[in-house]
Amino acid sequence: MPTRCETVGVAMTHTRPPVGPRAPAGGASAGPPSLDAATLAAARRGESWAQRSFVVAFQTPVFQLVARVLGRAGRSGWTEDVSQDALVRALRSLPGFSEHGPAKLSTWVLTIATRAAIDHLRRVGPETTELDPDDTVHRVESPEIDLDRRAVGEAIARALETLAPEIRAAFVLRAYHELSYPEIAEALAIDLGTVKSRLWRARAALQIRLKEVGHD
Amino acid sequence: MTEPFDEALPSRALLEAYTVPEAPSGFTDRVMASMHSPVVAGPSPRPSAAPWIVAAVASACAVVAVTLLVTRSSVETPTPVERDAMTPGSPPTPTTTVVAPLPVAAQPVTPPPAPLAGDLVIVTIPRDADVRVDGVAMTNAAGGSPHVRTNLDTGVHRIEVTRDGFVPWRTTIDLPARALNLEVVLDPAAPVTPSATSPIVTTPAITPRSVAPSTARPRRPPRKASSPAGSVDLKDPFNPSSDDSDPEPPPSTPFR
Repeated sequence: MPTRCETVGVAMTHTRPPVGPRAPAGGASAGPPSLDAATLAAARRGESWAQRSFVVAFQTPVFQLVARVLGRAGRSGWTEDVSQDALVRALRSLPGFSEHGPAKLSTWVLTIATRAAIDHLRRVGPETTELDPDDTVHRVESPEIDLDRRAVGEAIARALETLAPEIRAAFVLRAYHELSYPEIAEALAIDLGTVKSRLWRARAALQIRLKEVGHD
Repeated sequence: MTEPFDEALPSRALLEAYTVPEAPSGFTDRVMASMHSPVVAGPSPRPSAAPWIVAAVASACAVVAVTLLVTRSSVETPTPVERDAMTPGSPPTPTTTVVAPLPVAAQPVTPPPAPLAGDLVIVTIPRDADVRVDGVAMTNAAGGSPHVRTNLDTGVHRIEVTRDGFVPWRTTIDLPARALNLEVVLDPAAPVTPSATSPIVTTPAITPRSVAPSTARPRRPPRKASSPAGSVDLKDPFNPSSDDSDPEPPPSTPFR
């Protein structure tokens, strides 16, 4: 006798345990994540366990990329929303991704995330709220090395805030996700010369801010 | 690969000082839930007017517009008799008064309410079954289960799930204005004998409200006595011709 099972809500099958590599945690990426061919093929077919593996593998780099590109604008919960949007877009576009194409899977995913973040900034505009005082360097109880590190982090954040989203995105893709110039050009749909000029402008802004905190 | 720009970059240690938060716990589930929702997650549904409020306002505007149209047409459009009377120097003409019906276009018409839409997700086991809703085939991009149909009008729909070598399954559903998930497990057809043919299985109509907890997930047909409760046979029960050709085992837990 056939059986049926009915639920009202969201389908979440999980016929296999989630497998696949985890993206490295922390600040800068320690190598792009990837999926094995079988998992990638299953994710393309829409199998839930493989899609979950895809999300697990890429959510950290995507989240960090989006957070850095959005900057201050990402502090109102937008980072989560935009990251989620990017991952869903990537999953839905996965059948169109070719392993034999010019882009690596990680580059392809980061490209989608970058465009989602830039699109978001174009829609909502920059956020004008001040940085949270808790995020600043003034914590007397912290060790000196933490103070210095926090000051540098703050300086980089402030430097990036002064840049246009497209310039910021180019810098983040190069400095934190180690995309090559051609990959950045592809991700941002610009030519190589524009990539270089944007990176130099980002570096100049960074230098000024780092000098303020004693790092030339 | 090192680029010229890298030499001008601050050191890796400095760059890593700019830390950002990691994805919160439950983020994976949120993405997966969004993946299965009918609406593409865009950034985020911010608080907005409920759809029914928008529909109500639109209906009210339509009624007001039609009423104004009727009022203006009755006030401003002179009848032929009135036109004659307004023409200076023209003699009054004897007339008979005819009450004409309002033009059809000016009849106050309440626009029909927009049909509500629901979403239907059907998971079939085996996964490559043919699924039809009201006779229209449902497919997904990958060519297999789950089959998803969004923006389906609420109300009664006929579902058919068929696959060669399995007993066809038919039912009707009363789709609510939200998501409805069905998991259909087809039984292998009995070997064809001259005296008997496989019957088509027709189930009673499914309505979300009719699913009591005890019947919401009807149990699978009893397995062989050798299989302990809750275990899954290693041999694919849905593909008797091969033992392990199906790369995906049937789910061992009920579909949720």
